[in-house]
Amino acid sequence: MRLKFPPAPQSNAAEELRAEVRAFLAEELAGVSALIKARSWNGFDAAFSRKVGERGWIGMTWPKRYGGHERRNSERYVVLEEMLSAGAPVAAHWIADRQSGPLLLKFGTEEQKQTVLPRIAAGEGFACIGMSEPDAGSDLASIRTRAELIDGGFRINGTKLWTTLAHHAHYMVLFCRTSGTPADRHNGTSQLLIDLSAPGITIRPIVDLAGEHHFNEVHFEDVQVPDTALIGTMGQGWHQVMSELAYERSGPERYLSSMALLVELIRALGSSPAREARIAIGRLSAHLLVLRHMSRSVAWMLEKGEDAALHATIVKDLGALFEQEIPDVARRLVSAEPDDPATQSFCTVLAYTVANVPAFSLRGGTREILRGIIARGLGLR
Amino acid sequence: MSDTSELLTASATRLFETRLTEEAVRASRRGDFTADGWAAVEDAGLPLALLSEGEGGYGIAMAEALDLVRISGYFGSPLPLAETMLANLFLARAGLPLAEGPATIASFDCAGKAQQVPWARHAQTIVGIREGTIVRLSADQLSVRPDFSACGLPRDAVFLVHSDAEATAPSPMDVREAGALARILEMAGALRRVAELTLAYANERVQFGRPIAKQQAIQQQLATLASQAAAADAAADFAALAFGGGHASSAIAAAKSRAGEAVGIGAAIAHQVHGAIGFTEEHRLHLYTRALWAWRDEFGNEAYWETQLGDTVLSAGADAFWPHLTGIQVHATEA
Ligand SMILES: Cc1cc2nc3c(=O)[nH]c(=O)nc-3n(C[C@H](O)[C@H](O)[C@H](O)COP(=O)(O)OP(=O)(O)OC[C@H]3O[C@@H](n4cnc5c(N)ncnc54)[C@H](O)[C@@H]3O)c2cc1C
Repeated sequence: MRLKFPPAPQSNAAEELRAEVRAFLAEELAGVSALIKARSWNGFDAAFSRKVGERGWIGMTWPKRYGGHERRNSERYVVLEEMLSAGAPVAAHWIADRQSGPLLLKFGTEEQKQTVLPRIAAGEGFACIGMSEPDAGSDLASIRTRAELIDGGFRINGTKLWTTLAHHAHYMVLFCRTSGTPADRHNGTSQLLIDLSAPGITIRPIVDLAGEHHFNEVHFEDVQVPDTALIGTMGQGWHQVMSELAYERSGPERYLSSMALLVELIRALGSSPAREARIAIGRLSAHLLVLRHMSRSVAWMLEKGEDAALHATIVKDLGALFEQEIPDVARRLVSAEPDDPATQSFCTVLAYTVANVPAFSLRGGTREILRGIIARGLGLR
Repeated sequence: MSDTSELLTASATRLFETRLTEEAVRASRRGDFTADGWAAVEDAGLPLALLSEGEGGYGIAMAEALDLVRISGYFGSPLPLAETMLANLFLARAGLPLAEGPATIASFDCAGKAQQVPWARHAQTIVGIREGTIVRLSADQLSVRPDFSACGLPRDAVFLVHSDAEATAPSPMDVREAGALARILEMAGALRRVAELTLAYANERVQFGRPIAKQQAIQQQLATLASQAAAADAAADFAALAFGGGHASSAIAAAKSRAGEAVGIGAAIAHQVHGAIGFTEEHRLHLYTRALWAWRDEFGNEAYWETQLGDTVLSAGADAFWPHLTGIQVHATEA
C-alpha cells in the first residue's frame, strides 16, 4: 500500500513561463492591497481575465482548433500557482478553465466545443457549476432538478444552490435528472450546458458570512433548452460529473487559499522574530514545500494521462488542513493593533481569512467525504 | 528507475523479508547485531549503493540508492545499513578508503568525545568528524560506552583513544544533515509499514459483529493515517532528490519537520486502532512506532529544523517568500 507521488521531471519551458507570468503579475497587481489579494480565486475581474486570455493562459492544454494552446499540463500548473500565490483575481475564468472547459472537451458535442471553448479560452466566457441543491449536498445523487424531454429539447424545473459565480457566468454545467426519481440514484442523470440568459432562470444572491456575494441560488422554472444542450450521453450524468469533480479537486488552489495571510504574517513579524515565530514559519514552510511537491506530482500524473483522483483527494484534504491552520497560527504570533500602521494590513487579511476558512473543507467535497473516498481507495468500503 | 536500481531494491527487499525478520528487529532493540544478516547485506553490495562507479559503487542516482534506506525502515532497520551507506559516501567524497564491515559516523568534540553515535559498538570503521575534518577510524582506536536510543537501538558514547589516525581530509558533508536524511527515509518506510499493519488489523478485528474497518469513524482515521504516510513518503522523496544539490539543506529541513509531524499523527492513530493488543511487548507494532518516535528526535527534531528553515525564509522576507520556496524545487532523476 504505497501511495507514491511520482516527482515531476525538469521543464525549462515551464520555468521560462514562470518568469513571464511573474513579470505580467508584477505589472497587473502593482498597488493592489493585501486584502484584495487575499480574495485570490474569489476575486472577480473580467478585464483581468480577458488579459490572461490574450496571453494564452486559459485553456492552455486544449487543442488549438478550440482556441487552446496545446501546452503541457505542467506549464498550465505554473500559471495557476503563480496566479494564486500572487493573489490575482482569477474568479471569472477559473471554473471554466479548470473544469467546465475540460468536461466539454471530453464529453461535449462538436458544436459545443466550437462555440464555447474559444470564448472560455479568450477569457470572455465564464461558467458555473450546477451540482448542489437544497436537499443534495454531499449526497449529490439525490438531486431533484429535472429536465423533461420535450419535442426538440428539454424543459427544466428545479433549484440549484451555492452556485458560485452564477451572477456573472454565461454558462452553467447543469447536473440534473432526465428520467426516473431520486430513488434511482446514479441512473437517469445527465448533464446539460445551459445558457444562463434563457427565460425562466432566476438568480438570487446569497451573501456569505464574510459579507460577500460569491454564491447564488439558481431557480429554473419551465426553462426550455434545445436538445443540443445535452453534454455527452443521456443517462451518463453520474459518470461524467465524477470526472468533472476530479478536475475540480486536483489543482493548487486546494492548498494556496491562505497564502496572502502567510505573506502578511512574515511581513508583520519584522526583522527579529521570537523563537516560536521562527519555528512556526519554518513549520508552515515545510508543509507548503511538501504539499507543493505532492500537488506538482498530481499535475504530472494528469499530464501522463494517469488516474490521479485518489492522489488529488489526499492533497485536497491535507491542503485544506494547512490553509485552515494558517490563521490560527498567525493570530498567536502577532499582537496586532488594527490602528497600528505596521500591522494594519495583517489585521485586515487575518480577519478576512478567519471568516473564510470554514468553506475550505466544504467546497469541492467536504473533509468527511474526501476521507470516505480515501478509505474506498484503501479498499475499506 | 534504472535497471541496476531496480535489481538492488528488489534484492534488498527479498533479503530483509527472508533473512532479517522480526527476530532480527527484536535483537537490534536490545542492542544486538545479526551478523549473518549483515553478511548477506554486504554480499548484496548494499553498503556501496550511494557511490559512483569510480568510487566503487554502481553509479545509480543518489535518490534511487536512498530507497534502500526507506526499505530498511520499512523492515524496522535491524542493521546499520543507512549508517554504513553514508559512512562510505563520506569516505569516498573525502578520497579516503571505504569502510570495512559495518560503519557509522560520529561528530567528536574537541575533547575527543562523540555522543549518541548509532551502532558504534558494532562498527568496524568509524567516520569521525572533528572541526570540519574527517578522520577514518577503526574500532581499536576508540573506546565505546554502550547506550540505547529511545527504542532500544544502539546509540553509544565514543571516545578517541588513539588519535594518530592515518587518514584525514576536509569533511565533504554535514553530519547532522546526512543523519537527518537517513532518518527521514527510515521514517517514511516505517510509517508505511505501520499504516499497512493498521489497515490489516482493522480488517481482521471483529467487534459488534463486523470488522472495525467497517465503522466510519475507523475509516476516517485510516484515511488520515494513509494520507500522513503518503506525505512522509513524498517528503522523503523531496529530501532524497535534493540531496547533493544546492537546496539540500532546506529540503532536508522541510522533510524532517514534515515527516516528524506525520509520525506523531500517524503512530497515534495506529495505536488507537490497534487497541490494547498494540500496547503489548508481544505485538510487533511497537517495533515500528517506537522507532518512529526515536527517529523523529534524532539528528534534530522538528523544532530544530523548523528554526533553520524559518530563519532562511524570514531572512528572504515577505515579498520573496514565494519565489524563495519555488526555488527549492526538485525533479525526477533522468531515467
Ligand atoms: C464557498 C462555497 C462555494 C460553493 N460553490 C458551489 C458551486 O459553485 N456549485 C455547487 O454545485 N456547489 C457549490 N458548493 C456546495 C458544496 O459542494 C457543498 O457545500 C458540499 O458538497 C457539502 O454539501 P452541504 O453543504 O449540503 O453539506 P451536507 O452534505 O449537508 O453536509 C453537512 C455535514 O455532514 C457531513 N456529512 C454528509 N454526509 C456524510 C457522510 N456520508 N458521512 C460523514 N459525514 C457526512 C459533511 O461532511 C458535513 O460535515 C459550494 C460550497 C461552498 C461552501
